[in-house]
Amino acid sequence: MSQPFNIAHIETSSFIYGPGERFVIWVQGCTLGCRGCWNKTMLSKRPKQLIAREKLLQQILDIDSIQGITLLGGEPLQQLSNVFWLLQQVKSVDLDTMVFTGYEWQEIINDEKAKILPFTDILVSGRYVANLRNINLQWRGSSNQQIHFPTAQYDASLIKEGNYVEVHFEADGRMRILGFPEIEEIRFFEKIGFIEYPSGNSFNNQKIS
Amino acid sequence: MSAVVKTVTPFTQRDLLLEALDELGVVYQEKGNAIMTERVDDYGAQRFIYEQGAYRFQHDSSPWRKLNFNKWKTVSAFLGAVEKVYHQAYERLQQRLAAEERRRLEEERKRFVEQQKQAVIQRAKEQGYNIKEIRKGNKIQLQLVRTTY
Repeated sequence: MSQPFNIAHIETSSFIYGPGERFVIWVQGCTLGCRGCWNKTMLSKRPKQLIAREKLLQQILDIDSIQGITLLGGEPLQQLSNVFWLLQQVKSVDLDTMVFTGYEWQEIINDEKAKILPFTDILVSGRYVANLRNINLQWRGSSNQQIHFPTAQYDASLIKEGNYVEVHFEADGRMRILGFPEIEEIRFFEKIGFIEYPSGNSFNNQKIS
Repeated sequence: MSAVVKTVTPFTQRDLLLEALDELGVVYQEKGNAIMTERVDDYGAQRFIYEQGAYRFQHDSSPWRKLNFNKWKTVSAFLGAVEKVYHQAYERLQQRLAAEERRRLEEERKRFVEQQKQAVIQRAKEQGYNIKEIRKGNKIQLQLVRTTY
């Protein structure tokens, strides 16, 4: 029996983390310690939502409209065994795959982590570097981060640089703001919404998780 | 790196909010359009203030400067607890109401969500975003894209 995934957050439908509509999974836990990380609540390896990988796969397969899945976090490659398994399964049913990792390309290709590459159509690699922050780069938070296309599925023509934000409204008025918003945008959402305030995040007034 | 920012349920119904606070054992005092709680931070009593159709929680933005928080050490934990009980109270209210009144309540909620959505759209336009709206059942997604290169 495999260890379950430790998951921070799931969006069953999003359009800004890769081509088309995607099932997006933020894993819980990361030890890379990038200064200025936006997702500090996803750093702890303590269990948040433990989900058996088979169950997670079924959730993905239950959604007909998606083109692929995207994994980010937290650090997906610190749950390598499950991530590798999930990528393989998803590719086998003709969905495409994208992974955001804080590991550098060289750290991946010279390591066991490289085994995910044949099953990863788009890989965004590299630590987040706060003083290289640039929110106008598609899929990257800082300019040192790189996009790779390990399979033949896509190439660099896919990239349309810009700032991407997605706002989800639930029927009861809850909102989720995803992507790469300016701090000022988050402040705006704080004014019209009721953003939670855990301690220890990069901003004073909102929950970035 | 990408953000996930979550807001809590807007507390649109005063009676339900008070019911939730009562149920949680939170001591509070009503003052005009504010509900002052017993939670005190560097800026005084943390409070719910009615603004633009819902109660907003006002407090010091440095949550670690807690002074008298015996329970729910962070604002996030506190609001999470209030949200949960408020939801339950909302459900109970819906069950109590006649069909017509239930519809009115839902319409009111829809209007509030629509008002929030319009505020986001307006702001996004001002910031130069292209906006695409997608509806999925009773949920709405706004994609905001500002191509730069």
